[in-house]
Amino acid sequence: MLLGLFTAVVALICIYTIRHYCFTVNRIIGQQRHPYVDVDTAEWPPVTVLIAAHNEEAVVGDILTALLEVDYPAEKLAIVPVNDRSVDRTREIIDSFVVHYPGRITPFHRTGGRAGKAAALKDAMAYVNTEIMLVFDADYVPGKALIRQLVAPFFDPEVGSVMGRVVPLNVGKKLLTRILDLERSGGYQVDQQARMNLHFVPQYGGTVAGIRKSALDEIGGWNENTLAEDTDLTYRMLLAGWKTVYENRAECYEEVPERWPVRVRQIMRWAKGHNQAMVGYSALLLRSRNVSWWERFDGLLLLGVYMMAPVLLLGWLLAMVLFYLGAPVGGGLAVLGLAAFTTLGNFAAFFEIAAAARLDGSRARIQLLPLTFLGFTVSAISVSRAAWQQFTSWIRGQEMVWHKTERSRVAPVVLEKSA
Amino acid sequence: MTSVLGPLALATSTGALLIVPLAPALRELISKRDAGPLVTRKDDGNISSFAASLRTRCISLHRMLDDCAKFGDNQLIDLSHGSAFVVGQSGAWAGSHHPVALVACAGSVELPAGFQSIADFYCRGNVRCGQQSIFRSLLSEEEIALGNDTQVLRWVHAESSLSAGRNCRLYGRASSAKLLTLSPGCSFERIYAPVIYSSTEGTALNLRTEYAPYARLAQSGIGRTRVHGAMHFPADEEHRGDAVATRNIDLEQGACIFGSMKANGDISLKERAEVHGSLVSTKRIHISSGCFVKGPIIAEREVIIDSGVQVGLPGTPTTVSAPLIHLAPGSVLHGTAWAKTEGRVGD
Repeated sequence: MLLGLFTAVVALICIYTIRHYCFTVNRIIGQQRHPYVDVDTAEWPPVTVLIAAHNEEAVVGDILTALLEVDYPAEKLAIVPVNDRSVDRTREIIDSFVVHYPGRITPFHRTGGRAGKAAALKDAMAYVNTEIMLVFDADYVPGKALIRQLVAPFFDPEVGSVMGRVVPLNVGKKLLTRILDLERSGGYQVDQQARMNLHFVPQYGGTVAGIRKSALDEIGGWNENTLAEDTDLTYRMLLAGWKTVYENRAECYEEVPERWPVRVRQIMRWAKGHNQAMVGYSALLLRSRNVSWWERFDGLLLLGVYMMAPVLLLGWLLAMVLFYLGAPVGGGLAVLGLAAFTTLGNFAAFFEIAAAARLDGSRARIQLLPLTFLGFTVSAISVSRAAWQQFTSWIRGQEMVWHKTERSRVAPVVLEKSA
Repeated sequence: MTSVLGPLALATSTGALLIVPLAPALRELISKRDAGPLVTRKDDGNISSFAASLRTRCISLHRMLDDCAKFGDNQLIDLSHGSAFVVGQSGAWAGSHHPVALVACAGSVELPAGFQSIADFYCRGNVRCGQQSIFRSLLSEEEIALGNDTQVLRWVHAESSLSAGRNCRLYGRASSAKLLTLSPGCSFERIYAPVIYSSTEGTALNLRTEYAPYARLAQSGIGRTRVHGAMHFPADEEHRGDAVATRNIDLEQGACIFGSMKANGDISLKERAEVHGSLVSTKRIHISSGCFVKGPIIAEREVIIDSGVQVGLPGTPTTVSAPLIHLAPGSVLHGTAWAKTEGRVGD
């Protein structure tokens, strides 16, 4: 039985390894899909931009300034900062913008209600009177052409949501930010774009993103009962026959965590939310007639991605046990096998990051690749811990708590200098 | 003593061996040679941005252009980015054969057949060139008429009309602030104008200038029909709402859609069909004679537009985007056509 379980673990690792390699090879030599990137002339639809802001005094001014300067017809752009129960100067800053730019900004100051981004966005829907809405977290700094780039895919009536590319802004601050910069690069430049190329399941990421309101209404609106409203929305859209598309050239700067505890909390929240979606949608995805077989396959692998960390640790444990029990095929072989697969698996992810850095035209930063092992280790432990906490919470019937990612920015962004 | 040095040496050498593979990483971590955020796309995507840049470069030459025009004189001058040939003579070209970085003309010029310019070419008046000319880049504040078989290697922009003779090859960007006319056999990559005719036959079309008020319904919130398999709209049938098919979509003659359409396959519009929204296909789109499409046309392989087709409306320009775009003579586009591989006007 232990050997069977161990074989299953190794098989799963193999599948994810192959997946990483396929995505990377696709990005390097495959045909690239950017069907909407050339739509630069059109009758642009009215758009509402929602800015999720919970205690964002350090950053909210930057995004409002950037949005007021974007290249989109001002009369068609409604800017709605969603000030979600902030206790810092967020409200004051937003209101000062409202005074200085009359008619351009419609603030929503949320003073009560349930915690969490999904709950805040749900309440903010009363301020959305357009078919297309874009969502940004407050620490993002959109470029001038970004709104049009995110809106263009909605000319396709099959598109329910759009995801742009997130680019870390505070790269050079710490070892952590440099590791996260590489991880983000691999995740977007290779992973997301390959899924777009292959007609798989690009993921709506909850920020630098767009949603078609009629699609959202059709799937029942925002789900407050999840820690990852983005993954939840991706799958509900998919199951209802709406596509999520990824726009690799719709780039937007974000602030990544600068402290390990913040990063650990962030990835644990993502893991828990993702696992919620896995439990909720795996069976539905298998049965759905609205998705292709490839979407079903990729969708299931994407749902299980955060479970691979505990699976990996389980594999190590099983290998050790089999070694000391003297398993029939040889415990040593089991340990060696898992070590080999783990190494290969890691190299597959490293390969993805290396390819992404090359595609981005980065030079010296690729030398940091060996240090990403540190990031992977921390992530693997944190994600496994999150899965364990989730399991024990479920046993005890406890509700999961949403944690906001803390910001480190202390001064307004000056992109010209940093670039 | 020996008993301490031995293990110490072993530990040191082992540590050094472990550190060696990490040395480049540690060096980059400390020196931060490549630690800035990735440079994201800065341009606004405007097709005439190169033209605007050249115009800015020429601002300093305007006084000289005025002087040269006054005396009908030509001058070769040195600028910080290379020499420039300033042309004051209007009419037939009497230009320099010196290699220059910039040619600036004060008034209208007529260039002989076989004219070649590897410089940026700026003209305050009309530009008319003979056949088989070659330009690197060309900007006119008025009209441009390119002779047959002319090539533009990077971009061309006219503030008034731009017309390209037969078999011209327009690499890169070609744009006009008013009107662009492409003759049969022309190839292009990215073109823009409020009105684009594929050959002068297109001017005979009875253009729509405003769509029916109820077509505004197509803009939002009128529902979506999603079909597993192909969709077929019978002749002269009217459909309200967006339509999505997992395979092909066919519109028969005179069918009218007040909404957008997406096919995970081919889209075919037969004669006189109308789509008051966008057309999106993962493969090919074929639009037959007499059809009208108001919104963007996006195909991942090919767009074929027959004669007598109108895309977009005056004052409501749109985009046609595909790797391959084939335009039959006698159609009109309002806005942008962007062919990633090649666009061509048929003979």
